[in-house]
Formats: sequence, structure tokens, C-alpha cells
Amino acid sequence: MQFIYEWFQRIPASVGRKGIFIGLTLAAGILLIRIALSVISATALKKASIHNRLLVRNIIVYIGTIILFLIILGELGVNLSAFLGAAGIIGIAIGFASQTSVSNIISGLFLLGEKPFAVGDVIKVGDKTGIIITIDLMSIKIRTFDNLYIRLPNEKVLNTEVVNVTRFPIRRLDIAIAVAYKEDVGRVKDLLADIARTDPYALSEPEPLVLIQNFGASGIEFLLGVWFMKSDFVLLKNSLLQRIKERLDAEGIEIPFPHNALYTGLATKPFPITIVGMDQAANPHGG
Amino acid sequence: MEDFSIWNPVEIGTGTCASWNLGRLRLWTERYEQEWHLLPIYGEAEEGAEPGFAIRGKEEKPPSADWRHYLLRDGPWATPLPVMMDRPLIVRPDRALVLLPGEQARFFISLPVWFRLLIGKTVVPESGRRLQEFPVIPMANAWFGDPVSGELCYFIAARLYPEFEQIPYSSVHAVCPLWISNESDKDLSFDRICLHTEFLNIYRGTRRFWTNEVSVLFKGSDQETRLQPSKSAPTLDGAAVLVSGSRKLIELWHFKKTFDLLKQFTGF
Repeated sequence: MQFIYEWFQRIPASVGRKGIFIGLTLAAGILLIRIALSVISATALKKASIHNRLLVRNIIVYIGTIILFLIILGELGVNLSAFLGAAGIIGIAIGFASQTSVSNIISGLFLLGEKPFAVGDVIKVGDKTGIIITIDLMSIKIRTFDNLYIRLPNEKVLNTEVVNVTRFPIRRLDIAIAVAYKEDVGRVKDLLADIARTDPYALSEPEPLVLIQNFGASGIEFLLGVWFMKSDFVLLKNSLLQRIKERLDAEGIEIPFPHNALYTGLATKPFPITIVGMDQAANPHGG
Repeated sequence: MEDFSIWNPVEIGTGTCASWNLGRLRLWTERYEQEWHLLPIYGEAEEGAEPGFAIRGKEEKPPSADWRHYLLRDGPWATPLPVMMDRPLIVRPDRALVLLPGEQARFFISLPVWFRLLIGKTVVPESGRRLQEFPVIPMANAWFGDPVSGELCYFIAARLYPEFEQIPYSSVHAVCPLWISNESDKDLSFDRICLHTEFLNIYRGTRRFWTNEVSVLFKGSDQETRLQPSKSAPTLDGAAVLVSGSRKLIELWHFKKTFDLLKQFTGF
């Protein structure tokens, strides 16, 4: 150590010496930050969620980098008071120039504090749905189900309605079904409830909900609400829709398609239609 | 008198196919030199049909892609063991019951057991190597408690019997004696009971399988319901032989919210 110190003393006060010192400071600083990250990850954050781990990690990296930057400035002989004063003025200038970035950072801080979602959650932002990979100060990154990588700026996330699909352990799948007006409403209700109760992916409790929702344009509209474990969404949806169709078909219950009835001014009499025979259609003028 | 022989160890030679028939489960197995193959099939047997074990011919073996292969050199003995399910169980009684303030009631519930297949000839519970477990009757999943902090359970609709003699004999069910005390000043109306079956042992009586007795103490809807499984065998039917231990150790006064407060999930 003495040798190194003397070696430094022998070197004239030049840029070179400062350069070496700054280099060593940088290396030591980065090493220290990495060691701090490793130690904290292995101890205090061992049982923390991925979200909290990322948060603490980002804080350590940002604070460490700022301290390192200030040490290097001090070594370069920059007056820190003057620098901080100048930094204020520069900051305003930069602030004007980088409003979006600053807005993203501030939004990121709000998101980290508010915790509307965590890494691993499935979220819906606008028309984008995906699994959160990281939450950073500037943006969050999601992976969509068709394996696309999407970066969403924090400002956008903060200003948009975000749906956290997997926040709670159970969810309800609502399916709208319409049946023809001629069908027995009570029978349809019982059938739908039975289909939901016997589905292998549906939860028996909370009980499925069957609601007569509306007298629609083409049929009576029902709402079937079935609770399920959040991981079973795809399995349940496929199973339930298939079983509804099969069961209603088997029971002879009509699922109506949109249709209109034409009347000639009287509400009770339909438009008269005459079936034209094949011969007549082929030769409308006779002969 | 119920025949418990279905739970006896059986010898399955190399290259032999066999099946157990319990409840609605037909469990096919085939043994090779270093492998055990298992295939559970539900629905073939009627619930309540006669349980049995039989060595089968190779030609009877169901062709299926769902056979599971377990690499294990042990054999040729296999021991089936009745165990409790691996999650709590919500029981919906067959009728609405109201327990008046200060009243106590005892009921018996017949719970379907699970089939645990151990490899090895064993009379001491858990001494064999565990291969796999299957419910003898498939049970629906259900959620107990509020949608944010509740827990995943199984669900059965069952009859609450005031006398255990009324319960039909079954070698694939265990009878759970349940003491319910209403120490609140309000009527206790319950249409769901959440049994923490992971704390229950299974004992063999002279005619039935039994679980520990469970005491439920209700002190009001705003307070936690106390649920305590007894640490010993029930003093009924000569139930003294421990068949299988609980999945979790019984804690003293295990606090659980046992009775569902209704109308949590109605409405939107």
C-alpha cells in the first residue's frame, strides 16, 4: 500500500494521475454497489417478492451511482456547492428539454409506491395484455401471450386505466347467452346452473350466478357468472362454452341469431308470403 | 360389518396388471422390473359399488396416453392406505340448520377418503414408499371465505347424521364426529361447514373408518370461530387403530373462520 501511495506521490499532479484515481474509484464503486446488491439480495431480500427486490435494487443502484458521480466530481476539483447550484439551473433547462422522461420517472415512483401490480401479474393496459417482466423508473415491460415484448412508458400507465387480471386468487367468468322467446325460462336457468355446477374447472363455491338479463331483440338474454381459480381461465372458457352449446343442442333449446320480423302495418299479421312451386318459378308466364 | 380387505397389501408380480375398484375410482396398475405404471379412471364404477382388487389380464389393460410411469425398483408388494384429502373440505349439509344460542349439537359426517398407494408390504402407516394419491370420489373445487383472502377447498354436499348408526357402511368413507357449540347470543344459521381435514387422522373401528372428533365453538359472526380437532381417536365403534396420520400436526385451538357468513358472493 505504501508503495502505491509513494508511486502516486511521485506522479506529477496531472490529468493522468487523476485519471488513474478516478478509474480506480469507479471500479471500486461499481464493485461496492454490486457487493451491496448481492449481500442484500441474499439476506434481507431473500424472502421478498420480485417486485420489492426490483424496487430495492433500483434504489441501491441509483443512490450508489449518484454518490460515485459526486466523489468523482470532487476528485476532479469541481466545487460541489457551485456544481449543485449550477445543477439547479441546468436541471431546469434539462427539465424543459426532457419533460417526458422526467414525467416517466415521477410516474414510475408513484407506481412503485402505489403498487397497483407486481412483476408476474397479468395486466391489461388499453388494448395490450401481458405479463409484467420488469417495473423500472421509466417504463414497465410486459410480455404478451403471443410472446411480444412491449415497453409501456410509466406516464402512460399512470394516466390509463390498468386492469390487473391476476391480482386476486379467484375470478368470475361472465358469459352472455340468448335463447329464443319460445323457450321455458325456468328450464333454461336450471340447465345453465347445472352446466356450471358440473364443470370440472368451475368452483362450486361461490355458487354460479344465473341472471335473466334482458329481453333482447332476438331472444331472452341470460348472464352466466362462473367462479374459477385464476389459473384455469382458458380451460374453463373452452370447457364451458363447448358444454353450453352441446347441452342446449341436446335439450333442443334454440340459440337465436339476430333476426327482424316485417309487418305490413298491423302488429299481429305477418307479411304474407306465398311459396312458389318449382315449375311456376321456372316458367313464371306459363305456356 | 364392512370389509376392509381392500386396504390389505397385495402382491403384484413383474409384468402383471391389476386394478383397484373404490368409489368412482378404478386404479389400474402394471408392474415392470424397474417401473410401476398407474392409470386412474373415474366414472366406471358406481359410487357405493363393491370395492375390490383384482389381477387383470394384459388384454384388459385400457389403452390410454394418460398412464403415468414411476421409476422404482421396489416390489412386488403394494399397500393401499386411506388418507384424508390434501385441502380443507366445504360440506354443504342436506338441510338448513339453525343452532339456537347456548345450544350444542353433535353430528356425524361421512367423508370420502383418498387412496394412497405405498410400495412395500407395510402394517405401520407411512412406512412404505409413497407412489401417488387419488381421491376415490372426484371432488369439486370451491373457495371458502372472501375472494381476496379465502382458501381453496374441496366441496361435497353431505348429510349430517345425528346418529352414526344411520350412516351406511363404507370402506371408502371415514366418519367425522362434529360437536358444534353456539356460545353467541344469536341464532347460528349455517349452510356451509369448512372442515380442515388436513388435521384429521383416520382410525379403524370395528365397522367403519373414523376421524378425530372435531369441536367447533361459535362465539359470534364478528369473532373467529374456534375449531379444534381432538388429539385422540373417537371413543366410538372401538375406533382405536390409527390407520393414517394427519397431513398437518394438530395445533391447540386452531383458529379458523369456519362458518361461512352468507351473502358474500351474491350480487355483483
